[in-house]
Amino acid sequence: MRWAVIRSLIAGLLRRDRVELDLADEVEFHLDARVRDLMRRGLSPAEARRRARLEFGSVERYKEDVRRARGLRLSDELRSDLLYGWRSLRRAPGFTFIAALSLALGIGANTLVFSLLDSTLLRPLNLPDSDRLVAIWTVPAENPDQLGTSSIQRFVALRDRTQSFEAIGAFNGIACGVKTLGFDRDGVAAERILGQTVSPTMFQALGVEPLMGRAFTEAEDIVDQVSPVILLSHRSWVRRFESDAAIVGKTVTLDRVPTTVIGVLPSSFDFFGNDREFLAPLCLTRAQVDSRVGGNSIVGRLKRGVPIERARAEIETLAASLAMIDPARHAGLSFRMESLKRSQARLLDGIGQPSGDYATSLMTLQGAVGFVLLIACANVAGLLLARGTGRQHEIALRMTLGAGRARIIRQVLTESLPLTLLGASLAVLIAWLGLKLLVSTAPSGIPRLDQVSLDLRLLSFTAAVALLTSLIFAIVPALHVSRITSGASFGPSQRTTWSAQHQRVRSVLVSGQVALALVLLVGAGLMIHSFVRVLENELGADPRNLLTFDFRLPSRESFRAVGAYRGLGLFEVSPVPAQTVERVFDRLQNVPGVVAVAAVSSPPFVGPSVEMPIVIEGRPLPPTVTAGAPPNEQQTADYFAITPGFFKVMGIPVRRGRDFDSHDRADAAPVVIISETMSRQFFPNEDPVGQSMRFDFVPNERPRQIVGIVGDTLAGPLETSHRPAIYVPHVQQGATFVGPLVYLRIGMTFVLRTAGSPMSVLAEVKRAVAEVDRTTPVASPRTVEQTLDGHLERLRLSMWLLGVFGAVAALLAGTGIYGVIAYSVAQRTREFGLRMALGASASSVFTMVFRYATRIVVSGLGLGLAAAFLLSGVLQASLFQVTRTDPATYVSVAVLLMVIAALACLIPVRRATSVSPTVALRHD
Amino acid sequence: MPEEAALLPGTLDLLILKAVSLAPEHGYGVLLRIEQITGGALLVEQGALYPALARLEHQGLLDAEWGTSDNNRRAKYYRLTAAGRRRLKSETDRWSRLAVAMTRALSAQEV
Repeated sequence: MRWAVIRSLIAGLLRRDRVELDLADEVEFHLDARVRDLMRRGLSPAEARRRARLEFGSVERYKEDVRRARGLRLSDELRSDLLYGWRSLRRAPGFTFIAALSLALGIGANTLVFSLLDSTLLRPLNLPDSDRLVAIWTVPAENPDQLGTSSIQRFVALRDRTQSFEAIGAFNGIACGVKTLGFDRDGVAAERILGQTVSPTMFQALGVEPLMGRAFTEAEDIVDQVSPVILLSHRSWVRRFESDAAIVGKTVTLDRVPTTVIGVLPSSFDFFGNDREFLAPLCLTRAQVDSRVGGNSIVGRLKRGVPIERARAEIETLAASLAMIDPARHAGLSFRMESLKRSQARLLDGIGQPSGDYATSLMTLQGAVGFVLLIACANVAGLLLARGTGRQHEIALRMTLGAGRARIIRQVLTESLPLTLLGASLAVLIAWLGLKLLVSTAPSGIPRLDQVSLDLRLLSFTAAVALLTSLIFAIVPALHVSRITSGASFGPSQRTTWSAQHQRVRSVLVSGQVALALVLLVGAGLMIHSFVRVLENELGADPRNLLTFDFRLPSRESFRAVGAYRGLGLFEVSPVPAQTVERVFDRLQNVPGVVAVAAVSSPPFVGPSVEMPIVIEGRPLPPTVTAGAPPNEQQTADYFAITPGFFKVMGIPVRRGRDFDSHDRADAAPVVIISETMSRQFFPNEDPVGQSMRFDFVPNERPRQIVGIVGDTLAGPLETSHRPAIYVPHVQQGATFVGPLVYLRIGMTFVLRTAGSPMSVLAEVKRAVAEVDRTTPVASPRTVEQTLDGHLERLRLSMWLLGVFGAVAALLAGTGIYGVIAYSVAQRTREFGLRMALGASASSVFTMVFRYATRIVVSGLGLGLAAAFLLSGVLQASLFQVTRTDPATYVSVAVLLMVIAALACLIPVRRATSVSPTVALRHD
Repeated sequence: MPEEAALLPGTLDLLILKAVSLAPEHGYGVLLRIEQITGGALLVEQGALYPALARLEHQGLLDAEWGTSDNNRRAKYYRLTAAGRRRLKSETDRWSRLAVAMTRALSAQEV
């Protein structure tokens, strides 16, 4: 569009008077100049003026031509339409309020959900050239649908043997990512902080430059000689170190090792999240490098100009060649590459493996709010149609005077813009409040929630949605209204035909609303039903009044690598952690408010536990990994090391045999306790108590006797099946341990049953622990109920959001039904008056009206049920023990909507039947 | 009164473009220049100039700016844009070709 055109349109809309003045000026200048010229030729002033006027022609006509040529006609019409729309809003405050509110709810909800969608999936990452960044996952051979993290070997292969990437980096949050920050100053307790270990190439891959200092070099990340250096996150630097300008080069104590701060990251760098306070070099021990275990997430930056397909092909070739060279380690290997932005929408489990996808939930929600908006639009359209009745005469007149159908349609659309503007402004307010509410409840299920804000992008989105909304809700009345042809009669019969027509359109709209509302309510209903099922899920333990915290000693001092076993690193564990745990255990018995103390190797309900291969004495050996058997064919059980009294603290029943007690010392006969499922699976026809088994994850394991059977517990509140579990007295564990989970061996998670609220004893507990060991902090203190709630956050959030949307949808649909019924009843007042005069009762009138309502609603129900049936598939992944066609939900929702329809009939019918028949008969 | 040729549609636009091509002018000045270059042979109702000027401005062939005239009065000056210059050239060429063809056609000997 040309600049001149845009300029005159804007001038026409905003500075109309100025435009007129300018035009008058120009014409006047011309006439004056002509008069002067004519006077110069000898004419008198009066004569000159007359001549000049004559020569010019009709001033008004040419002015009008200029206005038309400059498109001012259009802007004049737009202006008058907008003003008319605004005035008619002010004249009908009731209508304006309802309509604006409906629009505000619809548009606001859309903006809110879009803000989440935008920050997670659409907004480019806060890194340079972020469209060249990719994430590379390993696809496990035994589970091709999943994505997994990679081992060091695979990372090194990707780093060194590919050409398509400018840089490939790896990061790992578990191995050495958790450290204890100790201060040398007295009185300041040690604290556990989280960081991220990264390869030196990561800086180049992500494109991040330190704000101060420098990044690590390759020389600082050599196997078994990783230098104790870190970079601080900007947030940590500001908060913990008070923005010390001389921080670079200073030393802090991490895990009792003096560590040098070599740099600070810029405040714009938030790739690893706000809770990661430092970056350290990858923890490269010989054992780690040789092991099969993953845990490293890989990021790559494509070289400029390299298409993503070429890089993809290259890494696939690499995978194939690795599988060929070293089948024992890499058989069936394949890699999957996706844009880094996409990978950020995945939910990660404790070790960084993708375990869920946030993207589909968001899209589903966006679809749901889209429905709400459509329902709101239908409401407003219906209201506009009703109001349109009063304007038939005006419209007919306009058309008679020459307005074309297009002009009328344009008029109606423009008149609805002020309403949309009002609704959109309210919508921004609603979205802002909604965001504030969401952020304050801070569900952990939404990544980077704190970065979401109502900025220009979102406001543009709101504006775009508002305009689209305006078009949608105004188009129906516009088309309908403009169907009046000129020459229409103005009598009452014509009006009833008109009313009947628009009544039909409104009924169709209402049916649509009911259908949409049904879909949303079914979605909400399914989620609510799931949630109820989750709450009914038997955990097998009593989670109330349990305080839990992690207590682990620094890794470096607590174990050392002594080789490998079955492809995983083997470590010798120092006796210090176990002794410290015992001392803390004893000390905690005396803390007031603590009823019982226990400790366990893996925190309860945090998810799938540690699976360890076992061997039952007296039976043939099961397949092992070195014999080539894939991990899921091994004979394993979930491994827990516990203190005596653990079952009592957790409320887990002992079914047979006994619990551990103080006699089960390190030098006594080794014993174990198994769970019911393990008893069923491994000893289906015999009594396990008295039999022996051996662990097979370290060499030279001695046989242990089974002395008891306990009840099953679920690994988490969303699990449905029980897994075999085996419990060992923690002091009876061997001196060696295997694999990357060795950190479980160097401390334990304490579980304390408290008399009152668990958190109220926390301060005392911290003091007590500090008495035993000042340098190891009480880490992640929480109640077990909080842990459980954490799992349910996503479900709860979805349920709440869908529930709110469903309720809003039902409300809007209800008002839509009410509107149609009320209008219809008002139209039929004469008829009802007549019937009642002839003896009909109020309830029979109600039945007639209800029948009419049912006709409208039932078609909507049918459509909605079909749509819900089709669309419920998107929720399947989030449902718990509820099928997507759960009849109970569908039926209850349908019944609910019928009840709403019945309620919507009540008021109009009461009004109609309470009027005396004579008045009604005279009503026109 | 000398023979006045009626103005064919579209010719006014071309004359305006030509008039303005010599130097930027206000509406009255454009009128004077047209009178000058056509030798007064083409007369036009003066007011018709203004819708034409507005149209040409809208089409992006002219640029308009408010300035001061010789006698210190506020006037709107029009000048040719690059697109206007191109249009002037192409229309001029077209007219020449048309004139040549018509002249030849009309002066052909009667048979």
